[in-house]
Amino acid sequence: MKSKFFTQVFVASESVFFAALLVSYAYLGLYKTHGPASVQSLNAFKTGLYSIALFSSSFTMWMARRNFIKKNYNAVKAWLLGTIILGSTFIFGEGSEYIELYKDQVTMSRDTFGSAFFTITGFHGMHVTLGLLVLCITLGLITFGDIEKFGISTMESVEVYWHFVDGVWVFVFTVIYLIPHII
Amino acid sequence: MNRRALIPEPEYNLPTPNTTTGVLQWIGTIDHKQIGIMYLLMAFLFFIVGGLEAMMMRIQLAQPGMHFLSPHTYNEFFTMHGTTMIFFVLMPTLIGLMTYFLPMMIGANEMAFPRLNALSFWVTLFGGFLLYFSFLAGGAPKVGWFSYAPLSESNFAASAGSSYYAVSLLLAGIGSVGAALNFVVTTVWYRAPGMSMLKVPLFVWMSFINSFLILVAFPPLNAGLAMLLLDRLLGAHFFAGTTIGGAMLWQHIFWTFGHPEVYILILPAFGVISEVIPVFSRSPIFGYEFLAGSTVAIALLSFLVWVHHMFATGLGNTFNSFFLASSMLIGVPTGIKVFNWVGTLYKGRIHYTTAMLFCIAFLVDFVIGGLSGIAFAIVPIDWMLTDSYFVVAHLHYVFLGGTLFASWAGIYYWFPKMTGRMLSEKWGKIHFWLFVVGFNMTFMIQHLLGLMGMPRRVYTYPNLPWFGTFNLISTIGAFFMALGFMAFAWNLWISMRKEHDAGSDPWDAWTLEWIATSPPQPKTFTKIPPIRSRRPLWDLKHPEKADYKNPEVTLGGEE
Amino acid sequence: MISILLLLLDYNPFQRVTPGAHDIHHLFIWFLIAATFVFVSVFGFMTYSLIKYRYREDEDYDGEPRQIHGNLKVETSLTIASFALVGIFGYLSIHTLLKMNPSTKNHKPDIIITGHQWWWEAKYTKTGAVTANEIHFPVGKRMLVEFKSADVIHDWWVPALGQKIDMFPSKTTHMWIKIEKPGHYQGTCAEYCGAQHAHMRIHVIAQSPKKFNKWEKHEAQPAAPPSSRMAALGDAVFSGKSCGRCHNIKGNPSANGDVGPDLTHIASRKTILTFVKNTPKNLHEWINHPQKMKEGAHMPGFKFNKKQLNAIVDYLEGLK
Repeated sequence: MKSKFFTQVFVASESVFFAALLVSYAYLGLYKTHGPASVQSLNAFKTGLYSIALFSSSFTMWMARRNFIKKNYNAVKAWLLGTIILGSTFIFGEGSEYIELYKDQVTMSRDTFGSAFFTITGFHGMHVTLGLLVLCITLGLITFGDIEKFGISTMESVEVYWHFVDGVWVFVFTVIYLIPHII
Repeated sequence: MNRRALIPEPEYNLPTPNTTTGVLQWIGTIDHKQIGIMYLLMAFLFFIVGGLEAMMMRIQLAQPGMHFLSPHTYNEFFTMHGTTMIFFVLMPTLIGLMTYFLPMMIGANEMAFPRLNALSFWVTLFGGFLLYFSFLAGGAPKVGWFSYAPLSESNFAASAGSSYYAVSLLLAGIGSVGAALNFVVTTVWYRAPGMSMLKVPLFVWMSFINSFLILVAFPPLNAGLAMLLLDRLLGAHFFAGTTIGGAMLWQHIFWTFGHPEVYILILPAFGVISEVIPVFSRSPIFGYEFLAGSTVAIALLSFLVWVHHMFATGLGNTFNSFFLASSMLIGVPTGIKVFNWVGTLYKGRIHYTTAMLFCIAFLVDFVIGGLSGIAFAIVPIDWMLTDSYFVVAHLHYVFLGGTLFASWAGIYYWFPKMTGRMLSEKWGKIHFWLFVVGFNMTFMIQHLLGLMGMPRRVYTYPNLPWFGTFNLISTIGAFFMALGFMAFAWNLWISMRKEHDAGSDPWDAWTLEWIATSPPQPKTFTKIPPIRSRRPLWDLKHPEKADYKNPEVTLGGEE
Repeated sequence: MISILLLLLDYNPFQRVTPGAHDIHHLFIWFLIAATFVFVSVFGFMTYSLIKYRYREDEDYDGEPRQIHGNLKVETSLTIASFALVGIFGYLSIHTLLKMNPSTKNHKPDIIITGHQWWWEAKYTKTGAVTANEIHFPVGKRMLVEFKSADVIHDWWVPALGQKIDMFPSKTTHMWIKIEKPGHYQGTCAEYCGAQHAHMRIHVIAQSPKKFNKWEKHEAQPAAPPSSRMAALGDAVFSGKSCGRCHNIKGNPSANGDVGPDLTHIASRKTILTFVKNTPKNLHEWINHPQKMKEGAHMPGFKFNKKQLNAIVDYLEGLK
């Protein structure tokens, strides 16, 4: 009970962190040096596919939690595994995108777009990776540990964190990948 | 929702230390009371360091054209002094008091996440050490505590100092956020049965709201520091001089943190004052609801005023006018609080203990600081006085006159509870008078220096009429403050050598912490009285005149 | 209050010579009156309570005093009074702010002032004259000054002229300045900008329009040619030792740098380094050992022998 509340408050605080980064991105983007050329190096379609993986992982996480409450632990393990696989796909996608950008000479030190892009997606990626770690630990505890000691609140906390990671990506994807095509 | 145990018990056994006493036990402890004391000790040590830096600066400024400190050293000192005092003295003092007393005041035996509590402390302490390590690593930061860009970029601040600054503050921030998370969850989930939110002591209210401020204000700082580090270490261009908007971006981000930060530093102080004044006036706090409500107003407004640190940056009349209005508005809830505290004195029966003396000094000096702050909300006046010694005067009046004096009031009030001994009233008064006289001597005259045109952050100044004299007066005051602090340290030393003579309730107070023994047992409470009003102990001691029987008292929702 | 006392003394730092400075002063006086009123009323009441309601041993001990929890009427009226005070001052302040800061759109600046670590560059747009550290203004004329920075954030603050304004590397700021009285007004950089922020003083010289025009015309002229053998030698050393890479001297083809102050008419300035008297001795010391006079300054320490040094100083002293 207190764990879920804790995670909700923590996640709210972290969201402000990402909000500050996104606002900085937008602020710097108002000035010419941001360079429209850099933004064009992004492939919204490909990243969109990887994003779908991440969004789906939220669904699988939700299913995992629901089954946990119903005590279908085998289903929980399956759904958790699915979440981990989808989340890892996303990270893999991000990594391949970074490599593409590097090949195009878009780096953190090239211009403000590069700085802001890698910072925001980098921190997001870190949070996703941390989440994947937590998911693996959760899966491990459920498979090998004492399930009775692993409370519902803890499972819900993991779910809250994973939805947060997903939610942040909605904003990041919209601001960095979608909006430049609209404005 | 069943979140009420009859007596809040841990859900599982906390790991027991191998020993029950000694340094190792303290290092491994997760007991909130011990962690609270460690925060206070940390603050004490860093206060000495930050204070010495200040003394050296004041000696350098005693007369024009002195060569006591080189410009580089002076610039390192003023940066370190500000950073130390804010992040490693005032924050730990307040967080320490909150860590110790918030659980006790709501009848809880521990914080919601004891290990996070310990981690928060150690991370903050490590941050402090890292900041000072910079002296050995090529030079301390010397770009001011708010580290404006592009001066803090690697081409202008080549030494590693600014990078140490960034990492150290990130660590301190993690510690503060961890503490804040703990406070929020503890307040929501661990209140004793019968204690609705409208019955918690004002110290708890202020701490609770303060925690939300920490949770929302520190992330922008973290973002800014991360970006600064990326600029300095990986060649990013967030705040480079060549980046259009870069310098302004840093200021916006920093002050989005910086302004709420000053409220973070004062709200718990307000909480302490709200506890101490009633006890030594023998009268309940005047206007509890207004005090609680105005705190919420301050918290919300504090995010809407940050540009008043940037009025001289040429943002345009519309922007400036909006923030002029919001900055003036935020003075109103604070004013209401002052009326309430003064109102508590009225028709009371006032005991002039050292704690009460510090409350009175707080009232006078914090209000002076607050009024000089309102001067800055008025944009044309700000245009004349910002970045001058008028600001230095203002900020020291609110930080020392406000936070420090309130902290001392809290320490003199709660020392018996924490240690089982009374602090010497004689040395307390010596400490009080030396420090308060010195403080006003040092900083009152700085208002004038600012009006006369002395800018801040200068290692020396021209030999204009009266500049030397006023600066000398200011320096002499600093020596009085140093003496006052030594009296305080002496007081701590002699009092700790006494027997446990305090008893659990030396002040005849009314909040739950005074039931516990002095010092409290590792498991603070085994039994608590029924909580039917804001002053459970008053009800216990005066059953006929109990608050909950008094129709005048509004108790808020039952729970 | 002490400030009122000193205001009464006709004290140089409290000079006000622009409309903006007067506006600020009026606002500040009203503020002081209001603040004093608030302070006296609140603390008058507090002192009264502290004295009248202090604990006295000899009283009949009737336990605790009457427990007063609050008074809605008092609270509400004080809150309303506070809002009213804030409203009045808010209105007055915004009114003054708008008055002091009219739009600068579509106006060309008269002077462009650039802040450097740790000196001031001033360019007069009408004639193209460029000078450093001593900035002249005509009395009675409203000048539009544009500010920017060559490196970090600086701030222009001359108290007698009223407001201050920050100067940025990647954006310009502006201020209208109309000086009413001739005189020499001192100011300072007011945004910490590094090692020698303390020694980035400003010298504003306000002159009658006639004198100002004469001065500006003179500043736009190229430098006087060296008038003595030593000065000619100094010219050669100056050119040969790469001084011209950083400093500009109009008329000297090898001296066209803009990193350091413009030296075309350095001998006509009363100060050097912004805070030291312009004498041959000081010039000597500065060129010989810059770090001793202004530690942290970007001026390199050249190794000149005595003859070279004397020659350079002679040359510079001829640049009136």
